[in-house]
Amino acid sequence: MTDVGNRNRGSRLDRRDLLKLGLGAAGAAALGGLTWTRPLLGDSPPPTPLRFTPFTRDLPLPAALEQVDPFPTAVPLDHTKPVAFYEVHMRNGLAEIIPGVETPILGYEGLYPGPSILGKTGRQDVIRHVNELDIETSIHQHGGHNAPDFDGYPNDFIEPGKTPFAFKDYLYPNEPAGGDPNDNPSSLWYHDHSMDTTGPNVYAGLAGLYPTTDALEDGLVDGHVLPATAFDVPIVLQDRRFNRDGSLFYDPFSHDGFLGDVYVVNGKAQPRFHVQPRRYRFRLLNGANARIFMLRLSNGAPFLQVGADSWLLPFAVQRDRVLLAMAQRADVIVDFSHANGSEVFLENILVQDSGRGPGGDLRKPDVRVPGVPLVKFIVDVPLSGEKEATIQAGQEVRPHSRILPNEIKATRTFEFNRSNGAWQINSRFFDPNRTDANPRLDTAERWLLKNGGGGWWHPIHIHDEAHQVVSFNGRPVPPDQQFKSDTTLLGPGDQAEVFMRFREFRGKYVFHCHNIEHEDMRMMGRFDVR
Amino acid sequence: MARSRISFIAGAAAAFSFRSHGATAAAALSEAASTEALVAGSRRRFPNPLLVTNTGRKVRFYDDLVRGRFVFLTFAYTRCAGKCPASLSRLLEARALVAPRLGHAPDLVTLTLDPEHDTPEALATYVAAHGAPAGWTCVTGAPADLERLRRFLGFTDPDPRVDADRSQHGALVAMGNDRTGRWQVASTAAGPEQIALLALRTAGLRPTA
Repeated sequence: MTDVGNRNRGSRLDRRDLLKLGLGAAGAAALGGLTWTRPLLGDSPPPTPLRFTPFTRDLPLPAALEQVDPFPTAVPLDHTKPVAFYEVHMRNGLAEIIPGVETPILGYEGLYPGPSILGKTGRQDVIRHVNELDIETSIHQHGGHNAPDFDGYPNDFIEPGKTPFAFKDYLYPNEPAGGDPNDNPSSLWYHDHSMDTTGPNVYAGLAGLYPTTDALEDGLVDGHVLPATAFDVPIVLQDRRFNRDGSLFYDPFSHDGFLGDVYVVNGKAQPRFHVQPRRYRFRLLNGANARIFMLRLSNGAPFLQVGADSWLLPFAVQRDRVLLAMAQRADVIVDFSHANGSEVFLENILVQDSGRGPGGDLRKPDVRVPGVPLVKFIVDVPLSGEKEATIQAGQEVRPHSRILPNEIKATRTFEFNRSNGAWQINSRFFDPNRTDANPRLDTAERWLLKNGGGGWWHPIHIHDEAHQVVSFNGRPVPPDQQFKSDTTLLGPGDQAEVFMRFREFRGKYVFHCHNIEHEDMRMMGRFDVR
Repeated sequence: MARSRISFIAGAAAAFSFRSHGATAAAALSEAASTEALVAGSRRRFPNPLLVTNTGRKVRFYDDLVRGRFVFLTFAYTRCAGKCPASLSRLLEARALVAPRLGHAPDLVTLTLDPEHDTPEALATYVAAHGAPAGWTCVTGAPADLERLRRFLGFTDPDPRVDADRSQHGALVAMGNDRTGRWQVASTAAGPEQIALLALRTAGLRPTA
């Protein structure tokens, strides 16, 4: 395995250089735009030629998308249930990602990130996505349990360049799989899923949040177990690279996984966030194309994790760091009550120089402390009157319905490998017209997800339903990792055994690597629920 | 056994003769200019070295083979007994599938991975052996220039041992629509139909019509 941490270093300053110069985290922050990226000679994209002072812009909070009046639609609505209508126009926009610099983006409603769509269990959402862009799109509600027609199948394109603009109505029933309230999601997101072009489309801005609540979660918030909505803050982590004119630099020829050299949070490069000395709920989303994060607080303080991917956990888990692969989410409670008057950074301590993945492996990833500061929390807002959240480590959050071995009706093995300079599953490239697996409706299956080697990291996303990791590299996963996932990270040489049910919907879905450049190079498979 | 590309480049860059075409390797390198092009939504430098085609014509890579065109780019070499024949066959078939919608087959440019052996004459023989389909150009040139293009276009492997062994090269095609700056890369092993569908999208045509 290649240790990317030992590769040739480029000419840019890195953290060790800064330390030699007597500049720690603050120094790095003051210089701005500096990262640990050490370009590989000859292959590396040009570094961002813009400099900025980080933490001079406030963390933006994506606005909630407003409902529109009902419109005629062909989607199969359940007329016995409430329904909300939304309309989203995918269009070109401008965003100030780097302070004082205008960057053209592709955005839902022309925004980066897109507006948040607030889902509610039991209420159907009909979303009309109108394509005003000059590239084909398909929209996937990541973590959602939806009919295949509305899952964002990769070649189910909303075509560009039509007059009037082409659109598609997506129906999200917002009902838990199997009618099991334990499967109600919390932290969904939506993003482009267009075959071969998801990488550039998401990179250019086509992603947004889709937080969803139900009675249980509302009760946890209303009962002050979880922080109130005002202290429930999304944190979308991405990396981007820029041209001198402020436009985004994307290399369509960099199909091993494209890395940026500027860290962007909720659409701003290294923002600041003024907070009260109290508990906050941060919904962390790794929205990057190919960068994996290991997140911690710069003061080393522990935090509670209450959710992973789309779902709340069975119980709150205390951690001092969390690994977040592309598309993964972590729902965490951070307590600033002991940090009044101070500044704390959310930082990334993982060292990653290439799209192959970080150095090391999952057992011992290549980390460096202190890390790259991503967000500066400034604890200087007077405490308001809202009650403090009471959640404690070990406290139940959402009960977990375990898939039992005696439910398993079939076992399938999928190996994620590289061949012919591109990416395959079981030595085959994705063909949208070829079925790779046929699970039966109302059964459960055991899937073995194997990393095919070469030192690559592959976060595997399976559509339609949550999967449950049962064992990892042949060992049962510890209790604090037994939960529902929609994206499971395979480090070099790893193998995950997952259980998964198939309920409600027949038809075609996909599973794929969420290193989006790998996905675009066809590291994707199709399964048809029959 | 395939020769190490790294040692080949290091050793042969100076030794490679471009003199028969009126320039030294050093001169070719100095002329290996880049030019500005629209790529993936922004303007960037695109390599534009001087190359020679299978007909002996001197061309600038970007100016003469890419600018204003919709083009398939791939790397291969005439002595390749591995992936090249099948890859070429798929690309020729994909071009034929695209041609009715596009009005013509897209240009196919094959850059050699073996410039030491693949002279214009060798490339001419190679093209003739495949029926000399219209719109297919093979090019050779200074090794350093071809290596620069290979790296720019991402026909590389991050494993240095694999990358140095041209017999293990990736069977990829880069499809570029220079009028819009849209580029797509695919494995030719995805098959002619999938390549053709992606080509139509890259060319700005509806894939389903």
